Amino acid sequence: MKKLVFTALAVVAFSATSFAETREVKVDKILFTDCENWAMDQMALYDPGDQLPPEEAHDNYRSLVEECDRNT
Amino acid sequence: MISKIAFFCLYIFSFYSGYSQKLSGTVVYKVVSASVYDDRENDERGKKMVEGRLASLAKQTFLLEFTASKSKFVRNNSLSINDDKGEQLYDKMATSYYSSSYDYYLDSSAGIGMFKYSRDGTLVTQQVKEKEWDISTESKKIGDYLCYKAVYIKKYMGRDGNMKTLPITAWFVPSLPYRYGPKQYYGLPGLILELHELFGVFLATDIKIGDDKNITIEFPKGKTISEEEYNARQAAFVIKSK
Repeated sequence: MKKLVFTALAVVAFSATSFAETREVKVDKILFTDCENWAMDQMALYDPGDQLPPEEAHDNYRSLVEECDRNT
Repeated sequence: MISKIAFFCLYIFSFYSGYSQKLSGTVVYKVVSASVYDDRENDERGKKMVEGRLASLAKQTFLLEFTASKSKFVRNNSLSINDDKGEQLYDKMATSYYSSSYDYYLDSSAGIGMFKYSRDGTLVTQQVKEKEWDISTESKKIGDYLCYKAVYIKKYMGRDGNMKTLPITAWFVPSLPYRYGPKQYYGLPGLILELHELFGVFLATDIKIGDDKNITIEFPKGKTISEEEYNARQAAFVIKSK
């Protein structure tokens, strides 16, 4: 009798886990550091029309991040 | 009498020969900021960054050398040799005032130009085309020189990946009939003494014209890429920053 009860309980317990849903969590936002956010604000202030050439803008942005990190 | 005539002819001949060889020169330029953005909303850290950039810019000069058919435009001093990391970063950021950090070589008789990017030494060749300058009658004095205004519409890719147009304003002096100027801006019927491009203004501070046979302009040696390949690389930087 005890074995029967135990077996029944085990069956119920294992079958319950099969009802658990698995979800894939997607991260929609890429998180930036404080210095990266600040550097992006500086670029927007200095070049609001996106006029700098891409490579130059990238170098400027990296220099701003690096200088900010140095002083933080 | 005949010997005197011969000597006189020889003198006149040598005079004109020497004059025709006076087709070389050097011009030193400095760059000042043309930025008009509002700094009032900037934070203290940002304002300090701007001050550092401007201080670095004030120390930088550029040298234009030219002969009859070739020219070379380079930064006159290397990036800060100071070990201070902050100063080095300000030097890098100061390049945005003149929109890119490169030396430019021109051979107008062969129709070839070359950019040498200081970032990584990349050499980019281009087929030189005559620029469509819009020359106006607007004039002003720069030093002792009467200069006229010309505008060229430059097309390029901006940092958002979109093609942009940018008016490049040059003030050139016809009395110095040399078709050269800062960077890749050439082709006007006179030397460019002032050039406005995006966030910076190039100003000529020292001009020497003569027959200096010591000026030799050699293109840098090394692997080169085309303008098309370089533009494709620019697109990659747009993708990286998005």
